[in-house]
Formats: sequence, C-alpha cells, structure tokens
Amino acid sequence: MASVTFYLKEFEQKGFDIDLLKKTLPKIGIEVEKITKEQINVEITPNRPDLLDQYGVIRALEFFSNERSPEGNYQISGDSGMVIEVTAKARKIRPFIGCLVIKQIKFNDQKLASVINFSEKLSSTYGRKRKKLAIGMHDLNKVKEGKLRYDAGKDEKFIPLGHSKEMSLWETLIESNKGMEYASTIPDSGRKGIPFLSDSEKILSMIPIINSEATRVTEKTESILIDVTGTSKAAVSDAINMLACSFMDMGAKVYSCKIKSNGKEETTPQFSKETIKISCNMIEKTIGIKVTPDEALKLSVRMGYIAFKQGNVISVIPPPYRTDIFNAQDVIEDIGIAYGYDKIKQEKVPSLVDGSFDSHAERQNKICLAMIGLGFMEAVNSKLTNEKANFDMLGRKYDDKTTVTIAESKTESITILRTDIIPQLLQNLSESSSEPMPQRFFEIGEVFSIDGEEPRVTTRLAFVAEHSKANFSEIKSAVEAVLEEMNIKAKIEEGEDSAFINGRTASIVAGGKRIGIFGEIHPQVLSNMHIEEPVIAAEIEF
Amino acid sequence: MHKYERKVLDFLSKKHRATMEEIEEAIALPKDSLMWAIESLSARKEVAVKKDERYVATLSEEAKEYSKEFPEEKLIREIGNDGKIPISKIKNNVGITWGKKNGWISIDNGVVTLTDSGKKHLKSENYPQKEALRLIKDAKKLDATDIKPINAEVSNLSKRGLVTLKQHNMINEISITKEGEAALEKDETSGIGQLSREIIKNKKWESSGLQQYDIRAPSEKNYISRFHPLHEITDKIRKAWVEMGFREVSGPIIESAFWNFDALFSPQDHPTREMQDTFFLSNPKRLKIKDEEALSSVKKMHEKGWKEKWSEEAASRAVLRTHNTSVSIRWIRNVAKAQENEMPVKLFSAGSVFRNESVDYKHMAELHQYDGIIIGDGLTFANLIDTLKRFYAKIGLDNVKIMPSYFPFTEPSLQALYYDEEHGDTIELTGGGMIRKEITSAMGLDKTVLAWGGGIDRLLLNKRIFGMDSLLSLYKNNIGWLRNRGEIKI
Repeated sequence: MASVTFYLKEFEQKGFDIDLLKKTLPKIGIEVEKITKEQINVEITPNRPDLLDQYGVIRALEFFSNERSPEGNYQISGDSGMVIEVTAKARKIRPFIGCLVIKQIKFNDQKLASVINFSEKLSSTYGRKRKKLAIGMHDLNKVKEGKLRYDAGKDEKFIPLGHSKEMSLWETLIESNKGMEYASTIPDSGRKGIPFLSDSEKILSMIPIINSEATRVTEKTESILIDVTGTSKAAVSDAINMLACSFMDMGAKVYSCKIKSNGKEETTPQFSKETIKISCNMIEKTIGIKVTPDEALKLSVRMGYIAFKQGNVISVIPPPYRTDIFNAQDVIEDIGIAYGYDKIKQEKVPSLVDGSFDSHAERQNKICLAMIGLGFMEAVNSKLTNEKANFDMLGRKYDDKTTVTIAESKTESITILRTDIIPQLLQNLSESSSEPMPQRFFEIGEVFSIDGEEPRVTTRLAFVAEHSKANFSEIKSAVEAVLEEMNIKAKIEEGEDSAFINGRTASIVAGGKRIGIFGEIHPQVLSNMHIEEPVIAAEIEF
Repeated sequence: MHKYERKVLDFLSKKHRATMEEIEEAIALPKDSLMWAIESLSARKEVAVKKDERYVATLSEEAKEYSKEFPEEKLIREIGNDGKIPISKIKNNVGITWGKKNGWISIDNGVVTLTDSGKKHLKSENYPQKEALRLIKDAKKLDATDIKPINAEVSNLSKRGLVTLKQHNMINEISITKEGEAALEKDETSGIGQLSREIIKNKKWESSGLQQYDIRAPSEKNYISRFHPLHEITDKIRKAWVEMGFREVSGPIIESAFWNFDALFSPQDHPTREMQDTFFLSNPKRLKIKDEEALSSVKKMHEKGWKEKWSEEAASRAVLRTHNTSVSIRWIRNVAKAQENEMPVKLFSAGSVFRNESVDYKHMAELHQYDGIIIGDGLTFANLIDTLKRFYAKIGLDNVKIMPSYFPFTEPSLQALYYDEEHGDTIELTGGGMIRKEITSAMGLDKTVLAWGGGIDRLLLNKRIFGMDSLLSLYKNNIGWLRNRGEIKI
C-alpha cells in the first residue's frame, strides 16, 4: 500500500467534491485516509501504480461516472526525432531505457508539483526505490536535438541539479546526499560504472541518482524530455505509458523516441495492447452476477476499456496506462468493481459438512478451564523476547545454538523466540506489584528451540503464584492436581535450576523424560525482577 | 457492636488515648478494616479523633537548582550595580519576568538596569522565595504551622511550578469518649461467633445463643479468574466459524519464505519481503522445502507471471509467518494431494502472526489473525461475500461494507469494512478474494478457492466491542486490568 496526497482543487475543477470523493473512491478500490482543507490523503494498492497520479485518479473517476468515454483519448502525436543509443556498458549495468518528448505543456505550480510527486512515488514504490525503475525529466529546449547516448562511466563531469560546481559522476555518487542515498541501487555500488544519459555536448542525468542542473525543469518549461531507465523491461515500458497518458490528460502533446540497443531499434512508448475476449457466462461463473452483453459492455467502458460487442462476446482493449491487465480474469474483476461490490447479491455456499475444532486447541482449552478453576488468571505473552528477559534475569544460560534467533528487528527488546514461559509470567507479576495479593497467573502456549537444524515447537503450561505465604507445598499440590486433569502419569524427582531455590526444586518426569519443573523461585531472581513477595512457579510440557 | 469496633474500644478503654501507630501495632487488623472501625465509632461519637494537617511537598528539577540561586537573582548579579545590558542579549526570560515583578530591574529603550530595590537585594541576598524553598526542601515534615508564615511565597513557588504541596490529613490521636465507655459497658456481646463441628454436634448454640454480626463491615476482597481477552475473543471467532461448518486446522509459526510468500505469488522483490517488514531468522537461517513438486511448479509460476528470475535460496529463508494465509496455502496443497475430498471443503485457522514493526499502541510485532478457505466447484465471488457477511452478522457486526482491494494471491479481491457509526470508527475487518488460478494450478488443484484473513487484536480497540486504549496492555497482563476488565461484546 502506498499513501499519496492529492490537491482537492484539481478534483473540484472537474466537478468532484469531497462528498462525492468519499463515496466514490472506495468503490474503485481507493481507500480515503484523511481529508484536510486543501488535500486528500489516500491509499493506493500496488497493482494500480497509475492511481499514484492525480490525473490517473481523475480519469478513473470520470470513466466510472460516465463523464468521459475511453474512445480516442490517448494518441501519440508523432515521432520526436530523438534517437537514444544504448552502449554495451550501460546495458550491462542497467539494461533498459525508454524516452518520451512532451510539448505544449501548460504547467502551473500545482501541476508541476503533481507530476513530480507522481514520478517520485512511481520510482519509490513501483520502482522499488529507483532500483527497478527511475525517471528523469529535462527541459527539451536545453537538450541538443538529435542523438542521445545512454552510457556508463565514472570520470565524466556535470553540474548535478541543485549544486553550483562541476563534479564527476564518481564524486557525485560518493559526496552528494542523493548519491549516498541511492548508490546501492547501482550494481557494485557504481565501482564498475555509473549509468548516465547525455546529448552530443553534456550529461543530462546521472542515473538513477540525479539530473543535471543544465536541463532543469521549471513551471515555465513548455517542452520536456523524459527518460525512464530500469532493470525490468516491463516496468520501464509501463512507466513510460503511465507518464505519457498523464501528460495527455493535462492537455499536452506526446511524441515518441527511438531506442537503439544491441543492433535493434524500438520505439517508445508502445501503446498497442492485445484485445481480450470475455463472455457473460465467464462473468457469472466468477462473480456470480447475471448481466447481458450490453450491460457488460457498459460496465467495461466505465473502467476505461475500449470495448465492442460481437454477438455474446465482448472484446476489450485495456487502456495504455493499465499495467495489471493480462487476461480475462483481470477484466472480469474490473467488471465486478463497475457493477458495485455492494450490489452483488449474496449467495449461500451449499454445504452439509459439520464444523469441528482443532483437537490440540480443545485440549488446551480444557486445561485453561482447570487452571481458572484453581484460581489462576490467564496471561498471554508475546512469543518474541530477548536474551536478557528470557535467560539472564533468571540466571539461566543463553545457548545460541538451540535458541531461535531473529536476524534483524526494529524493536530492541525483540531478538529471540521464547524458550520458556515462566520468565514472562514473573514479568507479569512484577508489572502487577501494586495490585492486591494473592496473585496467580497461568499461560498455555508455544515455546521454541532448535533440534539439529529443524525448529522444534512445543506447547507448555506455566503457572506462578505470589503472596506472603507462597511455598513449595502449595505449588506441589497444584501441579499434582493439574497433572491428573491432563491425564499425565508422572514422577516428582529432585530438580536443579538456577531460577529456583536449591532443595525446593522438583523435576516432573514422565516416560523417562523430563517434562517439567516446579518450585520456589530464588530470592535473587525475585530481587532482579523487583518482586517483593515469595513466588512459586511451574512449567509443564504436554 | 462489630467485633472490630469492640477491639478498638477495648484497647482505648485501657489506654484512654493512643496514636494511630499504637493502635495498628496492638490490634492485628488489615488497615482498611481498622479505618472502617474507627470511622464508624467516630460517627457515633464513641471515640474522638484528632487529625493533623500534614503537607507533602514535591519539588521540580529546577527547584533543586533554584535553591542555590533563582534566575532573577542570577540576572541582577550579572547586570551588577551600575551595569546595563540590552534586553536582546538576555536569554534568561524567567529572570526578566520575576526581576520586573519584584521591581528589581527597569527596562528603558531596550536596556536593562537595576532599580534601587534591585541594588538593595544584590547586597543583602535575602530572598523570601528562596528562603521558603529551602525550608520546604529541608523539612522532614511539614504541618500547618510551618506553612502559614510563608503562605505568599508558597503560592508563588507553586504558580512557578517549582513546588507542589499536597495536604494529607492524618489521624494523630484517638481517644475514647463517655459515649464510648457507655457503649462498651452496654455491649455485652455474648454468644457464639465462629461455628465449629463441636458446637453443631453438641447443640451448644441452644444455650449460649448466636452472636449477631455487623453485616456492613468490610470483608476481604476476592477476584474472579478468567480467560485473557485475546483468548476470549479468539474463541468466540473460532466458535462462529465452527458453527458455520468450518473445520479448524493449524500450521507452523516458523515458516519458509516459500509457503509464506512464494506459493502465494508474492514477487521476490516485493517490499514486504524485506527485513524491514518481516522477521527473518538468523538461526535457523533456512528451512528445507520438502514438497519438490510444489517447489518446481511455484518456480514456473513466478518466472512466467513476474518475468523475473526466481531464487530457491530466497524461498528457503526461514521467517516468522506474516499471515495465517501460509496455513491456508499449505492446506490447499494438502487437499490437492488427498485422494478424496467431499466438496466443498471449508477450513479455518487462527493464531499468531509477526511483523517487524516499530511497536506502539496501534502496532504490535506479534498479532493474531483468523484465516479461512472454501475449496469447491462452481464457487463465486457472491459466495464469498455471503460467507463473510454471514460470519460478521454472527459475531454482531451488521453494518459491513464490501469494497474492492488487492492482494497478490487473489483475483477478484475485496475487503470488508465495519462502520461503527456510534463511535465514528471504521475497522478493516478482512481482506480476501478468489485464489488466483495460477496458484491453485501450481498447487495441483483443479477447484475454485475462496480465501480471506482478518485481524483479531484490532477488534479489541473498538469501543463497542471492548474499547481498549492501547494494544500494549495486551501483553503486560497487569492483574488489576485483567480482574476489572469489561466484557467482550461480539
């Protein structure tokens, strides 16, 4: 999900006021997050990068409310005469490029800002922070006409946008803020060459880092050259198409460019899309609605498709800015959206099967009830913890070989998965120290370890009690009652554990295997955890 | 007369008067029971209670510095007897405010100089506010006689936020009155208190009679033990699915990226697959993907669909599952491999999922979800909408809206939203859709699959359902909160 902010004014000029936006946007899959005096903040799903663009949203709304017809909207005005030569060096580092020439732009502050916002959002989300895709814009009047070169180097010099002195590509990469921010998007961090685009005289942009000051775009600019580069051919051509349509909606004219690479010549943009055929039967089978061919045709037009009917079959041509339409299933989803999810008639799934609970979960619940009956409050703790809380506080040893460890965490207190539950229950007692005694907690849940190379997950019951007279005999009687309820035949033997008082620690042994431990918690552990009254604890695997 | 009251009067009749500490020591009763007894005796005028006005002072951090020198004192010291400082150069705003209030400084054309009274203070260094602050700071106990003479200064200090004074009226002395003596004499509480086996057997109560208790006397507080709210709400959700004919299943928490992402058609360069959002494990770093057949068909699906190279190495990375859909896809595969299934197959699971989040009141690193699937022939989107609306109606959420959405593994996709009009709250209940044909055929299943997943924790934040302020309370397990919590209304 990407969060985008648009200007309300642009919507209002097209007749979409706040109420209409609030009502209509969710119906086409755009979630409205916040509306302020001048702006609207929305969430865009990753399948619709075209909606990261304010003009993309406006066009979707216009089609959806039948205020515009998809026919004859997006036409290339001709060839720009620009030819971009791709060198082998550039191909190796960042293989794909597409270009566009836009003329007769009438920018104002807001329009320029929304174009820049769109291209930034596109390259940060769809373009995976410029790695897969990046966009450069240049004032066409400041570009030497004719041949451009897409190449890679290190020592070539230019003035980066917003800077005052000339720098080499390499200097820009390692010294400028943008250079440092995006160096990792170039293979080998640029050591084997940094891609750039140049005309016959100068560098236009250092890719995908920064444009050149020489071709800066301002609100006075009327013609621009756009370059889109990346590691995925599909992503580059999608972005070129989305940008072309956006400028066309703004009222500008778009001209194509020729890309010469590896002995082949291609023209960008490529607007032609394959026709997709659907039938009313397919719609009914997927969505569960009955529509006539005429209705289906109208619904697809409302989603921006150019559509025509041949008998019962509807043929649709996806608009050039849509990157997510490949087959009939994709079109049918759109038809469902146009129909309105709130209008689809509910239909019950026929079924005679009985439901059932998971038997393991049911057994856990039975033990839960037994513990509540014994006067213990249920606690739920996170399975995420850290070495200090899980081991150190109880004087237990951390073993990195048998502990499930997290590679990287945003939260400092999360480094491992818990190996025991008692440490967390003691934490809960500490958290509750100002509440009346006696306090009794239990928890049933998973603990984690590594057995050989495989993770081992076991379910355990743990319980603790804190009050001035808590002692070994109380915990022993609770353990024995619970073992009986769990149908576990076990022996109680002397145990040893640094968390408990020596000589007041017992092991629970069943089938020759140690399945649990209980006893009186050691006063040192209590003092570590700021617990002031005696505590008894037990933990049993089952 | 209650036995607690009797105990107090008995003690006082011997000593006549006593301090609270003495009574506490002599009578072994819980403090609140004792206080109750004294208050009810005092209400009947059987004891006389003398209370002490005591004050407890809290000093701010600044106050500790100020006790050496106040900012206004510092200011006039810096200006000096004949000094002039432009006001623009002075950063000590507090000094200026109070210097002016005290009449120590004057400001002319933006220049600060000392007045006569300022000069006088500079010599004497005798500042009442400072004296008062020092007195409060050093006093072991403060009572009314201490505070009265410095009332004006104390009020200034508290206005400046330096000192907070709280009044505590403490019982100083308790004495028995005439009424008390009389009541004691009259109170021939006789008869049997605690029953015993012997008294019952021998019918001793027939001769001695039974004591009457003060039934309004306080008793020790007792608490109910119960399920944790998270468990309770999860069980209500599980019950609703079972009642709708769903079978509960489960799956691993420690999962390979393969089942968590790849089998669900999530592209390998997708942002959610970065360390930023997902907990990758460093031990174990990788998990073996045992289903060779699924492995090779998923590889084909990715290379065809995303037109990019697919790495088995990346798919074998161990993660903490980010959604319960990993359980659903494993079960889609299980159903495909099973020889016979009675269609439709309806399954659900509920459990923990993990996100590498910066934790705050609305975002937790461990969350809980329920996921469901229906596998069958001829299933439609209308069936999915029906199932979800039925489920939410069952748990009491009627005003549910279905909207378009997107997930890499479903098409068409939807989300269900709940509008709580009373509290102006919108909750995203679930995301779902029809599992993509590419995925079902990679799993070897020639059926339609409806799938969805919803969050549990967030429901607890809704005011109508439970009204928790912060998800952080969930794992704290403060026993007071658990003892006194409200009902879960779904």
